[in-house]
Amino acid sequence: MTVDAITMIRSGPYTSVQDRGRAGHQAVGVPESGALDRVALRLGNALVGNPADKAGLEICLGGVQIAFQASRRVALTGSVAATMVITDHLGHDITVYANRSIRVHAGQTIHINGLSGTNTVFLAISGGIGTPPLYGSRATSPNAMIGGLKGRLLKDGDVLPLCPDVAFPDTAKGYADKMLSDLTVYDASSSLRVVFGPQDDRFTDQAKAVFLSSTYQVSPLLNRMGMRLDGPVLEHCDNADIASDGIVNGSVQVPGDGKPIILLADHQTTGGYTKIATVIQADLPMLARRKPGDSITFTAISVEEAEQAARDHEALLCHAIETMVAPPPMNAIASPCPSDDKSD
Amino acid sequence: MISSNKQHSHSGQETKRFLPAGGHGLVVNFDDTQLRPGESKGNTDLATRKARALAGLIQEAAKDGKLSGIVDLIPGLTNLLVQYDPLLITAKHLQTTITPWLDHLSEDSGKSRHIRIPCCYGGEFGPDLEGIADQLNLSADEIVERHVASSLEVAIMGFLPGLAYMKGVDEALYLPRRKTPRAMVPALTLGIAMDQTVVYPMPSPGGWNLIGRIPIALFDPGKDNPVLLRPGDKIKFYQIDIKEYNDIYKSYHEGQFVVEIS
Repeated sequence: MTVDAITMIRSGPYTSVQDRGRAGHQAVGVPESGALDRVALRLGNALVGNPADKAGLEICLGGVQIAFQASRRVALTGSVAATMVITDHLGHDITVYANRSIRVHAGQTIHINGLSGTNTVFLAISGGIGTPPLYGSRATSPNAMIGGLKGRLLKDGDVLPLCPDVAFPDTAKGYADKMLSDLTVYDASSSLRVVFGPQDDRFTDQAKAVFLSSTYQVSPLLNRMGMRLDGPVLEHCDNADIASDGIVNGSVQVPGDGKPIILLADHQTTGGYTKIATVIQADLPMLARRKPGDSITFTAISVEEAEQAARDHEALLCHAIETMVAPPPMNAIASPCPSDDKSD
Repeated sequence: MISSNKQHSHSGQETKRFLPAGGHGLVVNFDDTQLRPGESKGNTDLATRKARALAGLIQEAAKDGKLSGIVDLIPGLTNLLVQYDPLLITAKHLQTTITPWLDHLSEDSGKSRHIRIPCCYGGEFGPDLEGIADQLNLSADEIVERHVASSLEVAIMGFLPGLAYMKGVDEALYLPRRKTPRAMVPALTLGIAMDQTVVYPMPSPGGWNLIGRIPIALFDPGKDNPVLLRPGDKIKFYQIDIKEYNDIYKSYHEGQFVVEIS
C-alpha cells in the first residue's frame, strides 16, 4: 500500500510545513514555531474541511510547483490577490483565486509563482501534511532543525506524505468546495498596534516618541525568526542588556545598535536584549504579509485594548468561517477519471 | 504583602513586579534589586528560583482547572514569562490570581534532579582548552579539575531546543565569550563563559570557549521526552577519556547507557 503524497517539483526559496505550532515547551528551549499568518492557516484549513490543527505549506516568495499523487481539496490563503495555476493531465491550465477551495486530482500540478500583495501565502490540503509530529506539531523550525521534513525548509524533489483525506459533511449535496464571502478579516490598518513593555523603561522618552512617530521599512534581512526594521535608531537610557527573559511572538527587541527587530514564530525562547514594545496578537498575521521595503508604523494601545482586539479579531475570523459559501463551478479544467474522485 | 505593581529594592528604587508583553504575555519580575547580569550572584539565583517556583504553582493550578488560558511558562533569569490566551484570560485576572502566591514561594531546590554527565575534555573536542589555559594562568588539567568540581544548576534554557545555561562554574574559570563567534560548533560540544556552562544540543553558530564534548544527546526528537535537561536541574560533569567517550557514545546510541539522574 502506498501513502498518498505530493512532490515538490520546485520548492521555492522559503517554503516549509507549518501548523499551529508547539507552544508549551519553551521552558526547555523548544520554539513555538507554526504558521506566521495564523489567519491564513485557520481559513485555509476551514476551506478544505480540515480541523484547525492540520499542517499545510507556508510559502514565502512563491516559486512553487507541486505534483499531486492523490486527489485532494486545496485552498490558497493569506491574500485577497494571490492566485495559483492548476495544470491537468492534458496540459490545460486553470487559474484559481485565493480564498476558495478546489479539488486537485492525482496527476495534476499546482504552480504558485510570484505572490501578489503579500510576502507569505498558505496552501491548505485536505487531510493535511503527514510528516512526523514532534510534541504534537509538524511545524518546521529551520533554525532549531525540528519539525516538517527533517527539520528544514523544503527542497526540489521532496516528497511529502499526506494524512488520510477528510470530507465536508455536505459532500452528498455535491457542494464540497467553499469560498469566503467575507474578506474583511484581511483588512489591516496600516499601523501595527503595540503595547509598550516589558522594558520600555530602559529607553529614553525621546526614543519612545521616535518609535511611535517614525515610518520604518522592512529590511531584506527577513526570516521566520525575526523582521529587522530600517529606520531611526532608538536610544537606550544606559545599555541594551537585561537579565534574560522569555520572548513572545511580536516582541520588538532593540539590541545595542538601536535598530528594532520584531520577533516572529521561530524566535529564540529567551533573550538578553531590551524589548521596547510588543505587537499585539491580533496584528501578528499582518507581519507575515509585509515584504522587504514595505512601510511599518506603530500605534501604542493598552493591555486591555490589546486583549479586546484579540477577542474582536477572533469574532471576525469565526464570522468569516461561518459564512463560507459554495463557489461557482470552475469549468475550464478537464475531468479526471471518475475513480479518482470517490470522496465527492 | 504585595498590594501594588511596585516593589522597593534595597537601593530604594522602585521596580515593577508585572511587565506586559503585548496582550498575550505577562512577565513576573523578581529582580527587586535592579540587578544587572553578573552583579550580586546570590540574589539573582534566589530570584530565578522564585520564578521557577511560581511556574510550578501556575502549572499546577492550570492542571487542576483553577486557571485557564495558560499557553506557556518560560522561566528567565530572575523572572517568569506567562504566555496566555487573551480569549480565555486577561492579564488583570492572572495578576489578581497569582499575587497572593508571591509571598509564599519556596525555593524549588528540594525537588531538583541531580544529573551526572560524562565529558571528554580537550583535544579535538575542546579546541579552546589550551588557549584559555594561558589566559587564565592555569594548566589545562587544572581547568578540567575545576570544571568537574563545579556544582552547576540549570538557570534557564533557550537559544536551541535542549540548550541549558548552567550556572555555578568555578570563579577561577570566569571568561568572557569569544570576541568572534564560530560560524559552526559541532553538536554536543561543551563551552564555558562567565559563571556558566552550555552544551550545544545540535550544530550551531556559537561564541563560547569550547573545552570538551559529551557522548549523550541533550535533544533527541525520537524519544518520548526529547529534552534531557530542565530548569532547576543540578549538574555535575565527570571526565572521561576518548576511549570511554567512544564506548559510551556507542552504548548510548544502542540504548544501553543510562544517564545518572537522582
